[in-house]
Amino acid sequence: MTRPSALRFFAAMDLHPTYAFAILLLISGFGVWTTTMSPGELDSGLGMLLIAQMFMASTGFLGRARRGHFDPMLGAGRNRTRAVACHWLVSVAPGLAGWLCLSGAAYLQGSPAAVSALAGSRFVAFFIVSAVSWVAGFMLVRGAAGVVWVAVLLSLLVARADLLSPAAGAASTWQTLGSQTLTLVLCPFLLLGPRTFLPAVTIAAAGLVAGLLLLVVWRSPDTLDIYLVDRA
Amino acid sequence: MNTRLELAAVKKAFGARSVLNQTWLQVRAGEAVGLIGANGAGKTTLLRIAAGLVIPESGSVRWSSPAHPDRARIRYFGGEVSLPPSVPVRRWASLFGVAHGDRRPIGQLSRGTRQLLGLRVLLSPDEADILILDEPWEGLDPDGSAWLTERVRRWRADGAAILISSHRMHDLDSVCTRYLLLESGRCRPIGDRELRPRVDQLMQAARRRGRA
Repeated sequence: MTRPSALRFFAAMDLHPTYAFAILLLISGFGVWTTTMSPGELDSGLGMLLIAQMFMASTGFLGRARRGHFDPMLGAGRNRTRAVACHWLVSVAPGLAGWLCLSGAAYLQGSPAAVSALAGSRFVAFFIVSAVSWVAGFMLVRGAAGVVWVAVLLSLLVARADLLSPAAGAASTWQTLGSQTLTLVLCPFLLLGPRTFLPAVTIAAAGLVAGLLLLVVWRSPDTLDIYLVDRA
Repeated sequence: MNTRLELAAVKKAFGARSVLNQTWLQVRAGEAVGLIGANGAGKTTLLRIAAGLVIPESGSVRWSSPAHPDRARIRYFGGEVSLPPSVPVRRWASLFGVAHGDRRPIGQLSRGTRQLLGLRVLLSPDEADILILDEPWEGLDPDGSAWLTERVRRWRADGAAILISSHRMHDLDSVCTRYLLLESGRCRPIGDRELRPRVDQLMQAARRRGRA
């Protein structure tokens, strides 16, 4: 019996359902098509991909771990932090592939937003969704974090909450920076489109918060009990 | 010095329910220890602590290996329920370097076939210092049981330290060198003379619970 690497193990674990790949393929294809027709329309495709990633990155860890599915990766002698980090990588990989395809196609078409989607604020939006959705779904069933997140955003929409007022301008105080950062983490869609009033420090802080959330969860499995829920 | 697995003063509770209370256990190289106890006694919890999956509240767990004192090679099988049902058999087996031609998802196999698949992957030829098996004979037909018994014996002869939990005494009998009874959160050695009546008692209690 050889010991597979954590990356190979989780890649073989069917973390995503087959229909999710079909939906992702449709969205990516549609996005590439609209960008080819009109390179300025990249953000509509990216927005759809962000919504898909909210569900796809939320693969759920603890439920399957406590059914024993991940036992070979979590027992004595295995690095749990590495295992959980690889679980995140595999969870976000399909969405990342779609994102890169769409952004790459837009770049080749000369879309002005393509650089930002590959290495700027739009990519930060993708990272925030990939991190927060996976973290929020760590203890939930597959896709649950996406459902919760969409419900929260819809309730904010219905309440007509003024999430990020342009009047806020540059972050002049720590309070403004904090509230804008949290708003961006809650609604990374605000990073799509020409949001010139958002200071770079706020965007960086939002990305940092998402990264810190990831790190906290990557470190947590060392103290997690992986008992079997299906056994007495 | 040839102790491979050692649990010392291990305590574990789930909420208010204490499962293990000052449990001590040692398994040496070349011996197979049978762990018996009533349903709900905490056998699975103890085995998962021994495998490093469940973290005890207090006490310590030590694994050792002659080649790597701090990095013992441990193999644990928690039963067919722990196999991912959506993953094809062939993919699962190939992950661990075992050839298998079946392309069906694991969940489509019968319970016994799943159990045998998990055991075949776990017990495929390779070296390991510690083998931990949770009710491994469950669901196996006579051929499968005989195969498993022969494999466990061979691993024991090769010097592995083996800890097995099972209610199937005749199967345990064929591989184990000694027994531990897990009762009231503690392990205690149990000899042949005490073993039979005690097992009968446990079986009757289990049957009564089943009827209730």
